Amino acid sequence: MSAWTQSELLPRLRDAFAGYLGLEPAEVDPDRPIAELGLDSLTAAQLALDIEDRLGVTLFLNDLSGQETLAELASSALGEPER
Amino acid sequence: MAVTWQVPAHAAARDLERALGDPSDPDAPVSFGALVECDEREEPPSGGFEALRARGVHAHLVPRAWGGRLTSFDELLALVRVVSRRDLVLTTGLGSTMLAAIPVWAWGRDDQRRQVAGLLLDDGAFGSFAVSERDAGSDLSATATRAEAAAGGYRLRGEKWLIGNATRSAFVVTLARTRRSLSLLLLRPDRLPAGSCRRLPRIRTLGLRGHDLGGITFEDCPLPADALIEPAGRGMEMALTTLQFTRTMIAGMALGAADTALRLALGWGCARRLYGEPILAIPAVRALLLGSFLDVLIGECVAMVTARALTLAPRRTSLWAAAAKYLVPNLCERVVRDASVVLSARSYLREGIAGGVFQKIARDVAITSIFEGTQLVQLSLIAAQLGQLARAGHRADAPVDLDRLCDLSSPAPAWDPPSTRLRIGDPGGDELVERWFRRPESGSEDLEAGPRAGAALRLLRCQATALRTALAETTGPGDLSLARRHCVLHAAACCLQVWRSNRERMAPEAAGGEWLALCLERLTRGAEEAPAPGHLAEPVSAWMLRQLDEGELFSIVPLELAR
Repeated sequence: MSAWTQSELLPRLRDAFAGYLGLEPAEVDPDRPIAELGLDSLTAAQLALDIEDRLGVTLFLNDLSGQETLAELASSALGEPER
Repeated sequence: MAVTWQVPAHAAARDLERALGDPSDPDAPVSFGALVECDEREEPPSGGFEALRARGVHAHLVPRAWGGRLTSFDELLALVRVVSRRDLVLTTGLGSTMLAAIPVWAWGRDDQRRQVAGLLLDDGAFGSFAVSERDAGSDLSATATRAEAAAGGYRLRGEKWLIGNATRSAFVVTLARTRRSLSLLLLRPDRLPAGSCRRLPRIRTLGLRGHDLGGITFEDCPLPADALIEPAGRGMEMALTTLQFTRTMIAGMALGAADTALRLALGWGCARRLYGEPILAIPAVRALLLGSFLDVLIGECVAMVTARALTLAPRRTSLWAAAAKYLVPNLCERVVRDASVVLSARSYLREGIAGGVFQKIARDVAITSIFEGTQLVQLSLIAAQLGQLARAGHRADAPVDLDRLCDLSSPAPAWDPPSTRLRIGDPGGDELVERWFRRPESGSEDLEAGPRAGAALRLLRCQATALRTALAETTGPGDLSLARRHCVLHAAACCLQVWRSNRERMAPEAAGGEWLALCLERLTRGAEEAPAPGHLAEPVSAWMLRQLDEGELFSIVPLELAR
């Protein structure tokens, strides 16, 4: 389980997404659905692995492909672990 | 001329090659004649598998830490080539086993690893990587098989279809949906309650008629909690990382098949007399065979670099293994097609030359561009990664030392399975293409192969510049022609770098670089155009004929074949 709170996690997720999208963190809108950010599924899956490595937060590909926003993702990412 | 340059990574392949004997000798332990008979009866080549078991080939699938002999993948690639030049059914059976074993070595617990090592080392057992389904295929996210949490573990339900070794596997690694995502599970069919793991009948195919291709149905199949390969939920990422290893080995399978096809066609070109002389004297025949030799050399450079990268540049292999899987089967299938033109009516017979094995190779080799992701799948993977590189730039990480990567005189480091990271995209760059084609002057001082190599290099640089512009302007990974163009540049860069890093030790025919100039020209033309005769073609043709006469693998690196 992650030690982050949601307010700590969100800016870090923004940084990670920005790095992958070639944008500045401020350009990544946390209230826009992730599907609209323009990552293909392979790259999104690699992003999830990087986030796990760097932040210890486990995301799955389906978390990154949907209509959720980054802000919603930050709270749901802190939920129950897979087993 | 005696073989002088011995590459250490080829030592095991040389020993195996000698032990397996000349396959065109009907009395050899693994002969074309016996293999064609198995194919005619649609039976597995049991004698061939037994011969491989007896010579300890299964140990090469098990890392040293668990008692085996698997070290570097350039060593395994050479082994795959010498077995595949005899029969792709043999390497498909072993390759399916390797597919199932890789995730266990990389991410399994020690008891799981010891279990699989025991099966391979003691019994020479087969394994199955049960991932694909009737309605899923390359879309892993459509996987319908479920492993639901049940008392003490899981209950597995679903059907896996088009699975290698499906009726004979002693262990199975399967992909199933767990809670929110997909996971890999290791199971032993012989330890499951009767009826819960049912093997479907063998599926009939165009080629590989002796391969055990089938399906497995799980009906409320109870699995203990420790069947899981941890972490839960990363099954797709594990499968995609595993495929980088096995896709590289498929390049070796294609090269093995191409070697035999070219050997038969070139032998026929020398022996067959029409219009008063050997057909090899006909310029069109000679050009076709020379083109095939170049295709083998290009494919070999790509395959060797990728195999070494699996331990020397693992971050790059999400890109490079897809490129190898796209390029090498394409090249080798063209070799087989062109060989059939030279063999003419003989190519269509199920008897005659080498026991009639050519028609079997022509059917068998077709699998190499299909399984473990078709050519379109590879191009899509490449397009997505090129798009990501164009969008986000090259992220800071240790640059790849290209001389070490391509210096064949020092073996690549042994694979250390527990250090294998899940990496499926964002490869960080392609230094090979950047080194040779990024800057206008880069590397040209090294090219002594004459003005034609220089001209081909300039053309490739223009193509690289145009590709960079196109990639910067493209918005999505949809344009696969960009991926195709990158693959051509990558192949050319592999040839250039292998030559650059080894020319001092190469045989004189290879060190001169005439082959390199012809390979670069062939890659720039892209189409079916035959190499032009002249001062470059003559010495390369002579080199090819010497390799045939002296019984060497068609290769930049000398490898003596059994005689």
